[in-house]
Amino acid sequence: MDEISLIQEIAKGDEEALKKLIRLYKNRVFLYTYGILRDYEDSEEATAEVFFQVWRSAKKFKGRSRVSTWIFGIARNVCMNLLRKRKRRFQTLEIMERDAVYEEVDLDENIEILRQAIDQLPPAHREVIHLAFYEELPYSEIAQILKVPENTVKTRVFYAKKKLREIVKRLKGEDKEGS
Amino acid sequence: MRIKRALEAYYEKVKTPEGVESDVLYRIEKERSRKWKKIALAEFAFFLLITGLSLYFFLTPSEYETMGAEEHVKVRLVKNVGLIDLSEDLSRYSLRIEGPYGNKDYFLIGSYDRIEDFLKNTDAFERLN
Repeated sequence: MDEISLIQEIAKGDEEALKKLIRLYKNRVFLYTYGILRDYEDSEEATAEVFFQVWRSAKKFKGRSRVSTWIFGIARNVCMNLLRKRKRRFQTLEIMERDAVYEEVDLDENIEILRQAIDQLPPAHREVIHLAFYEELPYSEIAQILKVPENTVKTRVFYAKKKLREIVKRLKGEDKEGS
Repeated sequence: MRIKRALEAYYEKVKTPEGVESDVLYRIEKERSRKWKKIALAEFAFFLLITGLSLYFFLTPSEYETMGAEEHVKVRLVKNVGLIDLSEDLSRYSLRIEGPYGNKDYFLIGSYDRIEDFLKNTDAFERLN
């Protein structure tokens, strides 16, 4: 059964179809929410909420986007609501985007340092890095998930990479000082 | 590709929770029971409304029945009756009495049909109009 048929079955109230979809997307949704929320329990709650929302709004899915795009869109809203509820500030990049300059960022770094740098990224940067590099989604799909123009996505990726590079630089400096 | 590998390394230690499926199903059950509760509440409210309306229209207290439709029938007291008996009779028929206006004339006030019934069943009053 393809993913669209699964959603159609879920819309009819088929719990087995929902279970199948959960098995298919559980890891991806959890990691995405974890990337934004950075809290295991919050992400667990968010993941369950995402699939619950999928269950509730399956009838509204018209197939205009890919199922994954739709699910990530829901996941993003759920995360935003959670962040809002817990009064955490989700860093927006809109102001920075105005003066965006595209340039290549060299990120050919040691994996461990990169891993540490990702851990230190703000949620908004980590979100876009996750979608672009981990999920390997095209900018057009990321734009649909984030509900922003494609160019904005490009800018966000650019700034996320720039921030990553800054953190990597700092971490490397700390490494040198330490050794 | 390095970023992807770094992300994989970043997520490596993050184990996806096992309970997602049961949590979702629990939420669905909760939503369903909430829906049923809403339906039950709506039905109860509807029942209350219907009962209220029935009570209002079919079991209207007799004192409300004459509202806006009161008649005045002039009667004369032709036989002495006890005040308590008279007031009991009148309240049974939802009627009031006004007077006396001389010659032991009174006005019976209330629904015309009830005044008629009352007069049929009593010999204490004689109808004057």
